[in-house]
Amino acid sequence: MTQINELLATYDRETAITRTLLQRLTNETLSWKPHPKSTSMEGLGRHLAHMFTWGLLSFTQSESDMNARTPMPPTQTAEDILTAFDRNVAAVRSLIEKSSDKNLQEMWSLTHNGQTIMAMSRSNVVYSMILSHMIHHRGQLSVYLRLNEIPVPSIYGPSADEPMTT
Amino acid sequence: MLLIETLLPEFDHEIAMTKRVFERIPNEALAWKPHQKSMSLGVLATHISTIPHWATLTFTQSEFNIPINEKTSTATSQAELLVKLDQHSKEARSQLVDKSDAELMAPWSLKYNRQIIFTMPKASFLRKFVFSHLIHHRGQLSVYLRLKEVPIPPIYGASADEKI
Repeated sequence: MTQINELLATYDRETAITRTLLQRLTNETLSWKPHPKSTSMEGLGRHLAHMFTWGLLSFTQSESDMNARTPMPPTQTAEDILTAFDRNVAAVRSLIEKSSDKNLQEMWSLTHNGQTIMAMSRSNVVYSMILSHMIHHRGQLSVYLRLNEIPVPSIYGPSADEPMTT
Repeated sequence: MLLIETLLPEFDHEIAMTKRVFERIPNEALAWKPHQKSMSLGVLATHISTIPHWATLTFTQSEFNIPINEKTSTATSQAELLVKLDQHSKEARSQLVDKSDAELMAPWSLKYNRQIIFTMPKASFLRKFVFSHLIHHRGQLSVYLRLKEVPIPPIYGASADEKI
């Protein structure tokens, strides 16, 4: 199995789970937040869609500025969030698909005011900056769903509502 | 580049961040749960502390059966959680450290109710059921801690309380 196939398999599996959660968002709960310091349900969903833009930058440039990301278009409805997520997931997937094992190992740097603040391989951008980051916030979203009486899907095992799916 | 050269730094990084989150757990919050269907904070954190053990099992057993008998009782203090996390992660690290690409790409099966639900390379299994699984539950724990008014350390970026 090549690194690229391995990365795509993980990418597809994890983004599909996230989509299952995002599909359960309701417009009525978008402004809800569990604590005054927390991000709202809408903010969290929007963040999950927007983080894929790191892939759009890192697979088309060798160095990108922190502020080079396209701003996230407004998301007013649960459908807007899902549409933005689907669009970004598909765009990054096609960039990975067109890549190569060699290209995945090449370094990409993130700069801010001309200074490098981090450097990692493109493969790491996807595994860490996108997927692990997404999984972290998806975990938070699962608690948000629970607190809004929305059934939580199986993620890495059965939930209190649903049996394990793979 | 060897697979383990990318997996091990990620493992170390995630364990270090988990430790940082565990250090914020107040003992008096262990029995608390945000919803009647939720795991209590103590059960959730104990589960997280055990996940690195799955990496050890990947190299010492031929298959996994879910639910996995974690053979661990719920921790009753933050100190105990930190000890469990430390033990399980050190043991896992010693298994991971010298694994070749061939060993990591060897197939591995997960069973549920004694039926094979999938077979995947060990490296993929580690990524899904160890790394991602741990990150997922640590994300949940961060919401629990927020609801208990505990300042949250930065995880993948600044929190409402702390900058990177």
